[in-house]
Amino acid sequence: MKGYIFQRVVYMVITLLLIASATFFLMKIMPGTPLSNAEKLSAEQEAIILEKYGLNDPVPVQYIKYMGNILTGDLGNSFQFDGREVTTLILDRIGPSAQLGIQAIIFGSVLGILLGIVSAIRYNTIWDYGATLIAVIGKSIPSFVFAALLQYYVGVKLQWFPVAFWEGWEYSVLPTIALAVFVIAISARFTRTEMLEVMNQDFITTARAKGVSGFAVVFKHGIRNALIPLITIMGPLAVGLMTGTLVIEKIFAVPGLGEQFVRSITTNDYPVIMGTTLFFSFFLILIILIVDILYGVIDPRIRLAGGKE
Amino acid sequence: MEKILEVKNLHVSFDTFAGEVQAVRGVDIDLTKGETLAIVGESGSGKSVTSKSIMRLIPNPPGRIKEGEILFEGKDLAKYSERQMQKVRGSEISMIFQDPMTSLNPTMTIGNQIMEGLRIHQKMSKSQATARAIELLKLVGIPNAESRLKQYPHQFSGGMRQRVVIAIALACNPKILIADEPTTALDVTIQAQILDLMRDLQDKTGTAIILITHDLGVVANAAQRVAVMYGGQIVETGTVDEIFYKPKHPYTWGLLASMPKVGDSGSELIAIPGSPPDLSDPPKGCPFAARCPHAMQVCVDHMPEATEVSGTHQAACWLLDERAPKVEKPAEATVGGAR
Amino acid sequence: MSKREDYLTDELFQPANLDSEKSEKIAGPSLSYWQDAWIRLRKNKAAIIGCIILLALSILAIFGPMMNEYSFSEQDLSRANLPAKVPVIENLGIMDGKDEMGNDMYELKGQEEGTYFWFGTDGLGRDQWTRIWQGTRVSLYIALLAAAIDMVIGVVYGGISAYYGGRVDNVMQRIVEILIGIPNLVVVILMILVLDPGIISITVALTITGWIGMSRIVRGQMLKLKGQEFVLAARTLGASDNKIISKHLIPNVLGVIIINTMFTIPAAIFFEAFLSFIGLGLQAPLASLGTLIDEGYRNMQIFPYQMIYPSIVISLIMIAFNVVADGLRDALDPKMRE
Repeated sequence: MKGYIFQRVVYMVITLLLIASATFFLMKIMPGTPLSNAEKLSAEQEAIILEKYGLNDPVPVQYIKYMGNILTGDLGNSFQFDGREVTTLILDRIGPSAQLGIQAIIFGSVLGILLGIVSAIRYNTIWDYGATLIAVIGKSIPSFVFAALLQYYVGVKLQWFPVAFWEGWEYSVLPTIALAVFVIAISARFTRTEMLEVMNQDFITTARAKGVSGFAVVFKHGIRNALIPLITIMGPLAVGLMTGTLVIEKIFAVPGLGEQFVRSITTNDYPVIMGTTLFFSFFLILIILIVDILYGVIDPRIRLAGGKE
Repeated sequence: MEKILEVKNLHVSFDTFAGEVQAVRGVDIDLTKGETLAIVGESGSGKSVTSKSIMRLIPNPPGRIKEGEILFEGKDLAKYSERQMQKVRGSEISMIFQDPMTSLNPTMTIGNQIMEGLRIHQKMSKSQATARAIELLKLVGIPNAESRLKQYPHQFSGGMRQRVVIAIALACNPKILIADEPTTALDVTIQAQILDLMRDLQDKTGTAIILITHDLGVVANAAQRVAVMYGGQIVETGTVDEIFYKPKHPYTWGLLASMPKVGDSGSELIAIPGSPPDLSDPPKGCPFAARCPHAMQVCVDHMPEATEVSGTHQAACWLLDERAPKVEKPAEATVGGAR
Repeated sequence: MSKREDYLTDELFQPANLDSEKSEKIAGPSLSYWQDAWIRLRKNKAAIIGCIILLALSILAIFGPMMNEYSFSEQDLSRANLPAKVPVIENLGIMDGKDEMGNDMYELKGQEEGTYFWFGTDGLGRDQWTRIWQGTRVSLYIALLAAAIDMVIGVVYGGISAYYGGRVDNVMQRIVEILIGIPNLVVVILMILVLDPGIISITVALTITGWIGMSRIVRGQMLKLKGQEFVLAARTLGASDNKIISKHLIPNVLGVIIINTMFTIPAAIFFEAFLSFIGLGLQAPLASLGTLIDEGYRNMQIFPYQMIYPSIVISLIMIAFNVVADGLRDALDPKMRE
């Protein structure tokens, strides 16, 4: 187990190095410098700025400096936002994104698991079809389409919740729902499949043969076993949430990381793009690593249950 | 002799993708207090379905009991509601399954799994149930019962798990224990231990046992009476001696002949040619007719009825009709070797 | 038994010469893997409806732009922002050319009687019907191309890795393990920043890590099959490598390849639309469903129909592909066969 974790951490570091190097070289071949968006500057001012950003050094030197800076958490300075440090920008913006993500995960997975359980225990009935339909639609409709429609119909037309901005919990309702749709869909389908598989296993028959009631069989014996593999979808869920935050924060004008990232793309603010990219990559890789390790820890039991292979 | 269970004319069908499969077609079984009845047959003969039907554990859909009675102490279980059935399962009749590796819940401690039935049926307190669970683990021969109670199934070996499964089944002193191939998934040495354990426990508790198996060796070891199943029907029943020494049905002959014999290593193994009937389209006559070396036209057209051979011995075969040619059981159909 | 005596004649008790072949007769027709899968798929109503929707949308994507006299880039500000108006349906009170307030925009903008824009017009007076089907074409084209490239690279990479095994496999899998860590989202965005957005660059960006999933699935399936007893049995019986590959490996791997490709297509459609929405999509005059939704979103509060029609089309495509893919998985997955 220790060997496995070590190996995974090594791969994680290599992957991150690869991404960091790629972002650096992509930044080098990208058109535009910090100066192209700025006001007209005198040659002297320009030289000072180029010197300040280290843009006069040869590329290999810049590369080493860049990598060194990343290690110390320095992701450079934004071209926009008055040249503020990218790290600070990210840290400032992380709150709303994290709040949305956590709310969406909790709300979405609770609802999704319930739907999945109903589907499985009412297998092939109208309940199952209904829950499956919700899951398929939730998985299929692009998050930004759903978010836009939600904003228009629930926000603008019905005026139940604020349409945009970030001034209190009620502002987080619509973006949370929009983000959670994907979570609901994925966890509902996964729970349904797992539940169906678990409910067909011998130990469920053993429990029934003991005289355990149908309800208790589902809740005491079924769900616990079905939910353990649910951690495997945390990786894909994190990726989906991250993709979702970009567009959903844009739509609902949430001052989060995603909104800033989209803005930096439209304004060619490369340091912010690169910094956020690195941050996103690090975060996702870390989550996938944690999920894999967790799964490895409880794997023996799952394997013995005859579930996953 | 007091009959504890009588199954009468049981029909069980499964509605599948390919149509209705008539897995059990008119089975009659009776079981006396304290005895062991073995149900023998090859895979797909309907023996497991019969036993699961007694417990009403056939998943519905796709399975359903089409007709017949399952009289347990005179009450028809086939008419019981699910709620009534829950009171019977585990307390009056319990069941153990083939594969001890999968029949225990992997995320629940052994102790909790044993105590579950006790708390439901006997309304025991936690401490009473724990005490009884320890007693049961000792009874089935698991050392260090107190500490093993807190362990999970994956910390047990196959044989140990089957002992736990037996402990769960016997927790509430059931009147009937249905054992569905309890030793098939175990090593031969462990098989003998488990059979000994079951026999031992039967002596102590007086539980009647229905032993489902395809292994005639197990039957000889453990049962007093045998029912031979083929194609969803019982083709022959009798005491162990009658079935082993005076079998009347050609299928039983085939089964006995196909048993490898000790000290006869030179000879070929004898197989029954052909394959069992397709129960989604069962033959209208004797299900074995197509594979029977003595088949007559009547066998193909008409279902043979159970014919009494002795007070305890019945066989459903047209050869027992007086008009049929006299056919003696072949020489190979004898029980060979040490028993 | 007395009742039966009547029809039981002595002749019936003569030994019957039963054909021993008869007992070996296999009940029910023997079905090949694909026939069996086809029967299963046909029974799946959702998948069939999905297929019909896909077929209809493909036909519209091909012929839709030719179905009226407007071209997809023809601008005319005098007819900008007209709501949808369709003959016959207009009498039902929907798609009647009236805006949210109930004003007949066609009349207000001085369009002559008998002018119909089935999905309305955009801010530049371009016909949305033509543009939406043109956009569907582009979106489907990008998605199919990306899925095909993913499939080819993935199958080749996974196949080589599994077939040669040993050191080759080891090296190839280490590479995959590093690449798999890179979030798809990050790669696609970075690639689009470097390459200017266009049909080819978006396709390339989608495939640059897209093939990894396919390669892992193919390799996993091949390795699993290689170790399975029926393959060992075939080998023991002296089947040649070619025969094993063509008779045993390919038919079994083909199923997972098809299933996976069917899931790649909607993912690619989503990503293309997603890129457009964050400002990295196709540049005018090219239009895809994503750019149409992006444009529509900007005017959603005033002209909601500009957002709603392309949204419906993309949602239908996504749902249909997902449902068909699910149906195919259930039909082709050998695990589900009983």
